[in-house]
Amino acid sequence: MKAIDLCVKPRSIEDFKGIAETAIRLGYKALVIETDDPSKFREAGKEMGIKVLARTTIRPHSKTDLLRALQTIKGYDVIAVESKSAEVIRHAARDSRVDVIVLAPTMSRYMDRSEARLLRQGGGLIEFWLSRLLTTSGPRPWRRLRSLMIIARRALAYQASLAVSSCARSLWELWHPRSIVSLLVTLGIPEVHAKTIVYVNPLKLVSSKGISL
Amino acid sequence: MQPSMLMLIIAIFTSLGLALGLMLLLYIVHRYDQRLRILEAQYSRIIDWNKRVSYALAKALESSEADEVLRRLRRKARRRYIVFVVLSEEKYSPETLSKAIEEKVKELGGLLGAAEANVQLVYYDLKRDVGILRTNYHAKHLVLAALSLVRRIGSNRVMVIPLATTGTIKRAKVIASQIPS
Repeated sequence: MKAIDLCVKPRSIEDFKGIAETAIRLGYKALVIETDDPSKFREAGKEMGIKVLARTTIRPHSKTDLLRALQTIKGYDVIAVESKSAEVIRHAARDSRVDVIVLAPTMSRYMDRSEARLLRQGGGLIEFWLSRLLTTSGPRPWRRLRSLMIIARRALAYQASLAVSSCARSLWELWHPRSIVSLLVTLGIPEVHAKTIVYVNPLKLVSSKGISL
Repeated sequence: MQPSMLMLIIAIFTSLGLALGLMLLLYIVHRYDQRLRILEAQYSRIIDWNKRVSYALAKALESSEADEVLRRLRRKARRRYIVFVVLSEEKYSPETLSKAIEEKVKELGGLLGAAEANVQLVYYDLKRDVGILRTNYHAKHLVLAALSLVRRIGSNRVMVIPLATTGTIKRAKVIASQIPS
């Protein structure tokens, strides 16, 4: 199966090379990189044999911030929105220009039936970053795991599309797709749905952009 | 016949008629009451019978489930062998690695989960950093998830990559031998 990591944040081209090499070993076919200058990463990816897409994550504080940012952003394959305001997230969910909505562990309760309906209207994905499970700062580890559990279970219950990405800064933060599936299964998601979350949903997003792997 | 006599006779007959009508009504009410009680008794008997039937059915179901559990207990425990490769900044002994994995399984699944998983490092090639873990079939996903949480041993960074899951150690060793160093 073709796996895509929807969020990788290398700090330098050397970091990227390490990430790309390991990602190929883990079975990833494409990486979506968050960077200001995607061209050099695209070239490096092409040399190494892995498709590189560019993404940006905007962090608006209000609805006007969101609309202003969406009007100015150009040249990215994937546009993600992360906000601590429920109002902003609701607007982003409805907007067809927004591809991904990043939910922080503290926003897990936000994932409800009406939000799922809005997401279906806009055609976006809910995203959870696994790097948040590996950090030692912030809420206690079991709380972060619980937030992933709540987001995944609710997304499944209300038929919203969910994606789980590593958001790795270095190769040491990458996750094997099978490990993500197992983690989701351990958290109570049926295996078939866990596989959809890991393999199908990111592929659907990339295909909707007209990019083939 | 005098009119007063006639009136008296009519009054007697009327009161007799009324009394008879009243008695008839009382009789009907009494019979109706009796019938109602009989019906109530029959109804409660049916309810009671239904309760007994559903209790018996539940017990039968329980015993069939218990039979299924017993059948599963009698069966030989199914195992899974996970072939993995370790990426690390430093080389580790199998004991250190095994301890780190066990710790993570315990952290993620708790003591009961760890007991169910019964993780054992059955093979480890120090040259190629390839290993095989044995675990219970039902705890496969827990162990795979725990492997991905092993990110540090001491102060060094580590990554455990699961490559394949097999049902026999023979097949696992074949897969492990095919991995280049």
